[in-house]
Amino acid sequence: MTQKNRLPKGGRINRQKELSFKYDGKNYIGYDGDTLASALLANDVHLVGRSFKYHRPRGIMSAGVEEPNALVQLETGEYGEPNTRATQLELYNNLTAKSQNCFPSVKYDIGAFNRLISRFIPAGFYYKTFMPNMKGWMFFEKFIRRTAGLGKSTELPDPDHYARKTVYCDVLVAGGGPAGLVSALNAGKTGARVILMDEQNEMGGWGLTSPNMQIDGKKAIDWISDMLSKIAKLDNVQVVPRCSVIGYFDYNFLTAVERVTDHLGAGNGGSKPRQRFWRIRAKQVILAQGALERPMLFAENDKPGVMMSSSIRTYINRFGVLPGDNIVITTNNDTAYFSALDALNAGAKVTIIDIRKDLKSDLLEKVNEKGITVHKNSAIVNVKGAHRVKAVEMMKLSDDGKSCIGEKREISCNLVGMSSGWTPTVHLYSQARGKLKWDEQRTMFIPDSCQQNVQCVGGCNGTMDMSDTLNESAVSGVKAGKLSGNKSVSATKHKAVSHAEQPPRNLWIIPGEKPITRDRKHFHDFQNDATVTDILLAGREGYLSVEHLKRYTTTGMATDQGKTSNINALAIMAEYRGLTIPEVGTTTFRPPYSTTTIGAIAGEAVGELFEQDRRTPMDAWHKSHDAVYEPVGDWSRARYYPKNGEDMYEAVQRETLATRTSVGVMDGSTLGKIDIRGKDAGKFLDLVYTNVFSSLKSGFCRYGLMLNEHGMVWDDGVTARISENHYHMTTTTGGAGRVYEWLEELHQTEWPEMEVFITSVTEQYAVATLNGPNSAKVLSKICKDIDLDNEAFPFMTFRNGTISGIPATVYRISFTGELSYEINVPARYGLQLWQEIIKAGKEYDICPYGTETMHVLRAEKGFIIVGQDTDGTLTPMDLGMNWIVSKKKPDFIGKRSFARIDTSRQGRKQFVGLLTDDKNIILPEGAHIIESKSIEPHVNMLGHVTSSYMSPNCGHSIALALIEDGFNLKGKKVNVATIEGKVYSASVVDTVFFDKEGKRING
Amino acid sequence: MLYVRDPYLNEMRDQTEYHIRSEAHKARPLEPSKVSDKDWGDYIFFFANTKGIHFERWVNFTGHRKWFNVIRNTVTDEILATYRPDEDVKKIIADLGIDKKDIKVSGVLKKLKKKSS
Repeated sequence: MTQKNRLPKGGRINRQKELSFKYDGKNYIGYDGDTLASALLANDVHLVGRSFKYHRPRGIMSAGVEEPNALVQLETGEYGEPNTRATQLELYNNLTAKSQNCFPSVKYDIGAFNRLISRFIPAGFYYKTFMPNMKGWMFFEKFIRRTAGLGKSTELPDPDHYARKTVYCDVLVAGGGPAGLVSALNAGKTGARVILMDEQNEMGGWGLTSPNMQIDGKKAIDWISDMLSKIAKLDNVQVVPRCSVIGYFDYNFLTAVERVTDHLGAGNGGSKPRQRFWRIRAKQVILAQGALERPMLFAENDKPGVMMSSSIRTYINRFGVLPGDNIVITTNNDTAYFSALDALNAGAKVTIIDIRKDLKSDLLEKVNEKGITVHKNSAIVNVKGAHRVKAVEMMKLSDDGKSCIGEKREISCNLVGMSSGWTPTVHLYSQARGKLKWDEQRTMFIPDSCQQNVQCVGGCNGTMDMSDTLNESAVSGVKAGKLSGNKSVSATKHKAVSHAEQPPRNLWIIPGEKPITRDRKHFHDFQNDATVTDILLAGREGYLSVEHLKRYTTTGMATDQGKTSNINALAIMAEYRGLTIPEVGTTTFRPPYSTTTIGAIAGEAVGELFEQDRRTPMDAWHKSHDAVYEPVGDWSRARYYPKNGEDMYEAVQRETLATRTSVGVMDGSTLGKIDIRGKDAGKFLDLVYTNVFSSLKSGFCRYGLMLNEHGMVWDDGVTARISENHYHMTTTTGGAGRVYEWLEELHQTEWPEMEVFITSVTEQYAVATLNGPNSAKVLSKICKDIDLDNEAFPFMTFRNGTISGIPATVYRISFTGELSYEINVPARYGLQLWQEIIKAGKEYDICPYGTETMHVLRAEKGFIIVGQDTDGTLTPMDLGMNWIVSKKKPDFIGKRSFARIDTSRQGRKQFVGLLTDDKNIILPEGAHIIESKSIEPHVNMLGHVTSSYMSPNCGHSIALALIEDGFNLKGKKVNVATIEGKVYSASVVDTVFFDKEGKRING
Repeated sequence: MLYVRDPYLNEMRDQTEYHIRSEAHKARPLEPSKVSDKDWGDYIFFFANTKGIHFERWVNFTGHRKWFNVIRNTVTDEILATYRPDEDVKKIIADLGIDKKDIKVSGVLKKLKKKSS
């Protein structure tokens, strides 16, 4: 197999190491050091894909991150990855890739039908066609989506693993070209901790594209290795290749993605991560990302074989590939002449078409000497060839450059190089909130000022001359080192062979044979298939702002984020509106700079590590007894324990009944627990609860409600007084964290004079709650040192003792209305406690129950769950809990708001019970309570159902609800509408459904 | 991600270690029952919400759990100062050279009986 376009020598490739790869089903050979793009070009494959909208054949256009066309579907199955840029994909053995957006093949593509009707589907077509008739869109959408698009994502789990890393450094240098190398060396010499990152596999940047350029009396390629060995001697400089800096955030916080093992091939990374996500906090940042060449907007400029002129040079010098042997180069500036010379030296026939009127550059003489024909004041008006350039047609330009004149002339060729000037890569600078200024003569936005500690050097700063670049980089490197607190050194001095640039001619639109609106297509955004006429159409239709332009034409919105298209689009809009480019403005650059895998961002936070999963000390028992879990806050709590194939309903009915009949036990370890001490602890609690805690006697417990300053309930729980200056507070499971933070805030900012010490002890205690008439009998078997007699150990008190030798605090509090014991033991004894209880309870058929049964049991008693029955708009009075609000205390959080007009008005939503007329109907939670029997609009909504269950103990379904003026509706009927459109009749009743007298609390 | 000098640790730490709550220097009235409905409404519902220099309360929730105050420019996200509640804010403002005109805090503050916090 021959590599037709491979040069006999040269390039940064290892010719000893052949690599075979498969593209679109055909086998090819490339070399170690190739990218997929360079290997394809070596094999004379230019056609690599079909365009996004019109399905036009497209070829490789660049040699780097800006590539709009050569996006491939890499590998298949679990390793499949869409939209991979062939220009950045390092070749590995047995690589498999195929082209995207084409069927059945890239050469014969059915979707190319769109080309024939392209005149009728300009920008905005789908919107205009389908907005008046959305039904049409519903039908056509799937077909349109299939023809428009990029690659296909795999739906299989990602087999790779990824890493994340957080670092702090003095100086971060982004970009490892000549500018970056000099910056890093000089910053390193100050003793600063420097990190140098470059997206390519090897450092050198532009120097690898122009290896024969003379720097400091050496060839660029030798100068680079010289610099790298100097940098290697500095222990304080870390060089990271294959690492793209993608985000620049506040306070010099940057993110980068390092492709650690991608180049080894799918699945060959071994124990190393596939990619590593870097989070970097740098005292100083130097951006040395260079500049990107702009395409020229002539007719048919998207044919396979039309490339950026500098990329031809990159392929020749870096990869030893001459992408075509008969080349036309068209340009408005000097840099393309170097590409022409390198191509000529590599053995190609070269013709230059320069749109400038007069050529004064010393390069003209140089190329003429070599026998290259230069056509000045001329432009390409057509490119011939379907799947590959065959020839270009050229005409002279008129004086104003607005039209073409004279004879049309055909020049045969198989490759076109184009250059319309350079765009400094200011993406990261803009992300850092840096301001840009417009350089009219060189037609580029360059960095102006930034509030962050950042400097731009070289191409990224608009400095195009190599000597200037190197010297400004050296000075910036020293400055960054010094500013980050290191010693001052003198900057290195450099000299490169320079060339006096002749200014470019700025023709944003290259005229064609016909006026632009009727001419062949002039593409400016290749990836989104947007043309010059789309911009003009947007202008005519009033989409004048750049943000509107971007969304209307989709310019700059694809995976390349307009790296090659943005400036051209802005310039054309500016010309259309008769404004300057800075007046038109730029769109906002947002991270990431280049496409990034979600895997890298997620890092190791996948699967079990996706989110914290808190488990109680008893979890092993729940797991081995087939508990079904539910997430509560960060916790996984046992929801119910199904037996013999029960579903949730059946299991919960059984558990609920068993608990009230004999005894049940629940794991309550997740309850928030806060230890509060200090001589002002009582006074402090009086301010954060609605009721009084300073008067509570030691050894007693009290239920409390917490309000926010608006007077609305936001947490509840039981607090016990352990001793004079010591309380044990409990909160809801989900509210533990925020209550704790809130208590600290109040103490530290409002009442710092109080002596209070607040400590979270949630995880220090495991809690098992025994409930039911037989609970005392079970507990007495394992607890010998606490007198469980009702007189000796009354409700709402606690006792210390031991349970099977475990030190325990037992609280006689109840969330079920049954005789209950809440047993707290040090967390490490939790599992043992649970097992002892289960063992002791065996003779009473003790029933372990989960959160769902807890909900039913408490609803039977009308106890609220904060966050389910409340929603942050309810006062204690709205909940019918006036009894818990102290009338004596002059102040507590929320009290003042009770007197507000809206809080104290009649007819607010109030908490009531509901009993459906049909006892078997379980109302859906969230169902609306309405006035009318019919659900025809407009119905008055009175409230909604907050909790609803089948109560086996009542033999009736029960529900809790919030209803406007609910207290006055007691005894009356309301209608409850469900989402299915049914309406049920129900009676408004008291919230206590079971044991209204509260007799069961003492067994 | 912001980078903040923690006034208790006296070192620079990442924003992710902190929670940001409400406006700082908005003292709770000493005797809420004596505050008019309008002033109470202003206290609980209205905030400076400044475009520019903003005083706010932060807490380190991953470590020492102490609350402190931050002066931040909400336009640039620049943190001008961080200080403990017991530090003299007037001196800090003077040291920063902030013009009094540029400080907008909830108007109600002046009407309410304030405490030093």
